[in-house]
Formats: sequence, structure tokens, C-alpha cells
Amino acid sequence: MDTEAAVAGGLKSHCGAGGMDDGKDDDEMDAVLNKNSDDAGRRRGRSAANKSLITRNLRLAYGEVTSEGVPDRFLEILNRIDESEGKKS
Amino acid sequence: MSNIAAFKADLIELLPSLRAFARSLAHNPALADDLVQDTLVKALANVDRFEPGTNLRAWLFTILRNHYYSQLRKSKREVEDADGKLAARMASRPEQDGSVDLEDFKVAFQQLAPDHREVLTLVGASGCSYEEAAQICGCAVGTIKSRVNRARKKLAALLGLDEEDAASLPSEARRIEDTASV
Repeated sequence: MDTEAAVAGGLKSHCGAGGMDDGKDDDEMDAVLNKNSDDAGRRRGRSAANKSLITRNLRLAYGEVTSEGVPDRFLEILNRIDESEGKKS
Repeated sequence: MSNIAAFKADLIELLPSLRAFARSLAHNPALADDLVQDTLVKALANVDRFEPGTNLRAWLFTILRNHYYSQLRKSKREVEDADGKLAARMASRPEQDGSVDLEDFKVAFQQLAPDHREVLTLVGASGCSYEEAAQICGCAVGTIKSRVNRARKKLAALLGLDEEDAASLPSEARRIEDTASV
């Protein structure tokens, strides 16, 4: 009895959720059926657009850092080799 | 100009790109610059191992990358900085015109695995060839190519950019399943 009620309740909520999505799913189904032939081309176009968008932003982010000034501490480290060279010669 | 002076001049010229590569691995600027500093110290200590005339950028990038991964292994997990925590919470959406805000892009980028971040930076931004990237990462050119593709797809998904119309297919399958259960 308890089990039956639980199953019925579960089924009811399951159907309810399906019903709520019906309108949206119908639209998506139409979209899939009508645009099948264009899909491959559109996918390629979108993939290429995404690729160039990603590359553009990668370069912007990279360029932000390369255009910053180099911290002095790095140059100080490099200057140490001059000093050690000087001592050697 | 002595060999060592020429080496130093080349190093200075490469510092900006070395810092940018470091920043793509360690998002935190201070940690990234620590990586650069350690790389410089290691490079100077091993200057006799560098063959003049070969690719200094690849040599430096390799030292930095190996150092980053050995530190990562030591710590067992990536240092969880405040930015990283924020990144995990934020979900970015593309603008109406399909463009992406650079700050949103950076947040999404940081959610990628380190091996994906490094190939995208090397090939996409630093101007490395696939061959150079393969040399730096110590793997085959084919591995770099497939890794770049996977990284791009992952990043596109994180940015909310659809690569395929796959989104409509699972709901269709679900609908059929719903109908069958009734």
C-alpha cells in the first residue's frame, strides 16, 4: 500500500515535470527537424568563430602581462652574472 | 659582446613573455613572478648547458614549466588562492553579440586544467609552433594538437559558447523516455 502510493506519487511528479517542459521540447524538436541540413555548416561556422574568439582573448590576456614593466628584482638577478663574470676575469 | 652578455641580453628580451607564460600557469601574479625568479636562477646556474644558437625561449619555458609542475606535485594540490575560489563560483555567459568580456574569459580560463592552460597559451598566444610547444611540454606534436582542440572545446563550454546543437538532443531523449514511462 505504502509502496503503491510512493510509486504513484513518484509517477505523478515525473509526469508533471514532463508536462511542464512540453512546449519547450516541441519547439526544440521542430528546430532539430527543420535545420538538420544546415547543422553541419552552422556547427563548423560556430566552431571557427569560437576558435577566433578564444585566440583573440588569449592574446589580449597574454599581451596585458607582456606590456607590464618587468620588475626590478629580475634585472637585479641578471646583473649578478655581470658581477660574477667581472670577478672571474 | 661576450657570450654571457649576449645571453643576458636575450634573457631580458624574453622576460615579458616568460612572465606571461608563468601567469597562465599560476594565476596569482606574485606566485607567477616567483616562478619566473626561480626560472632565472636555474637558467643562470645551468647556463653552460644551454647550446648557443638553439631556442632560448623554449629552453626557458621548459625550465619554468618543469619547475611549476614539480612544485604542484610537492604541494599535492594547486594553491587555492582567493581568485581561484571566486572563479569556481562564477559562471560566465557570452554577450548578446557573441563577444566575451576579457575578465570573464580569464575566470573561465583559470578553471581549465594546467595542461590545457599551457597549450592554449603556448600555441594560441605566445606564438609557439606546435613543434616548439611539443618540445616545451615534452610530448609528441600530435598530442599537442589534440590537447589544444580539447582545451578549446572545454573553454568554449565554460564560456557558454555552444560548439554543437547537442543541447536539444538530451531533452528530446528525455521526452521519449517520459512518454514511455506513462
